Amino acid sequence: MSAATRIAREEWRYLLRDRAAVLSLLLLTVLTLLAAFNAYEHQHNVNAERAHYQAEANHAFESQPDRHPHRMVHFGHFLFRPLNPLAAFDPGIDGFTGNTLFLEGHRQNSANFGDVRQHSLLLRFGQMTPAFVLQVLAPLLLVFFGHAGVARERESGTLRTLLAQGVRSRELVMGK
Amino acid sequence: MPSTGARTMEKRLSNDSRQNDPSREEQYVLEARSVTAGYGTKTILRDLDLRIRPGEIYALLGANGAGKTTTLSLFLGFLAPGRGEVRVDGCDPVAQPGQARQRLAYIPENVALYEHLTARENVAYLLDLAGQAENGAAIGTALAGAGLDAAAHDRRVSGFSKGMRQKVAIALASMRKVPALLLDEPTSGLDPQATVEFNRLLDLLRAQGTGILMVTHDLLSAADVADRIGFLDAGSLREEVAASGADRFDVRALHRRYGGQIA
Repeated sequence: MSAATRIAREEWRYLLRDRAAVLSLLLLTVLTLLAAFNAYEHQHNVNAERAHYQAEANHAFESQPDRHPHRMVHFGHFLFRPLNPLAAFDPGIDGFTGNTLFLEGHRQNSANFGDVRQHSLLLRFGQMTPAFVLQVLAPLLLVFFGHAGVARERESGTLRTLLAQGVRSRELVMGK
Repeated sequence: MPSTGARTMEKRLSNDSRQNDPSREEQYVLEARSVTAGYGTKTILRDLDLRIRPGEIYALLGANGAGKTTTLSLFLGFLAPGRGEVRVDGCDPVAQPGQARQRLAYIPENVALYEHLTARENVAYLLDLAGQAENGAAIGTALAGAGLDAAAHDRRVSGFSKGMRQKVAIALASMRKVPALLLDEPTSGLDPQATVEFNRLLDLLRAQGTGILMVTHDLLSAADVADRIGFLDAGSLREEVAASGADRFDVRALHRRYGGQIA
């Protein structure tokens, strides 16, 4: 077993014996589950809302009296884009690109009503989704633990002991 | 102030001639040849010559800032010499740090162990990192040999005293079976009984053929266990005395000369 693997195993054992680390991992798991539940509810509500408005738009379009097709094209039609099932994990750029398209003749409109129009750019950090927890909070926690692992060796004096066993600095950092 | 008279020079010449006699072709486990070293622009060691044979305990004494810990850093490869050569059992600790550190064990003044591990787990982990896997029973035997109570073998070291930590470190050093051992102020903070016990453990390692370099302020303890004592002053070896033979050292005389500087 390489020194880096042995150090990693030992770090894992330390984290398991350390209440703060176990608590952090537990909180992260709970947060991920809550985020998954929240994202599922959000997607369900958004889709229901968009389906409702889509039905209204369809009804308004179909309720038009008989007209020339060209005039109907000018009358236009709203399309509400439903959310992809994977958007429950990560909504992607939906909040920035908008979700409503107005189709009309001779013009190519862009999507409207992106959530970002009503919020600041911090919108991305406000969405409680599993992707946010796993892509932003979990790596942050890993950086904290990795940094703390090396700093702890230095502060407790075990760094010199480790190096004196022939461990290289690179192996130590890789293990952590 | 240390004497720089004829007696001192005679002893140095006597030791130097014994060490430098080409007919003896001695192998040294720790060797510093004309080493000058320091940190940044500050020179700590000046033209230091130090040679330690297998199975020899060498005590390096000196005042604070004399360069004792810097000497240890040289052998550990934590510091590169500006001039001169450093060897650990023939390996250059700067050019071949891995090989040099495989050949030595180091016990710092305050033995740093992993607080969340037991004594047995600490030894197993550090042995493993040194590339030497041992079973728990062998580690238990080594810990017992170092004088650690069996009840403490499987206790976390967070509650251990300094003496108990040193016993764990000694057990580790004895299991590694390295040719050289470095000790940094090993008896500071130990009660007299623990110091006697520690010296007994050093005797065991010496009997195994380990060459030991201990840096210390404690002249009496050094005189009790060391084969040779060197006095470091402002980065240079002022005087070397031996424990046996015609130039056997006189502790009282040494204390009169150096007591004020090293205590």
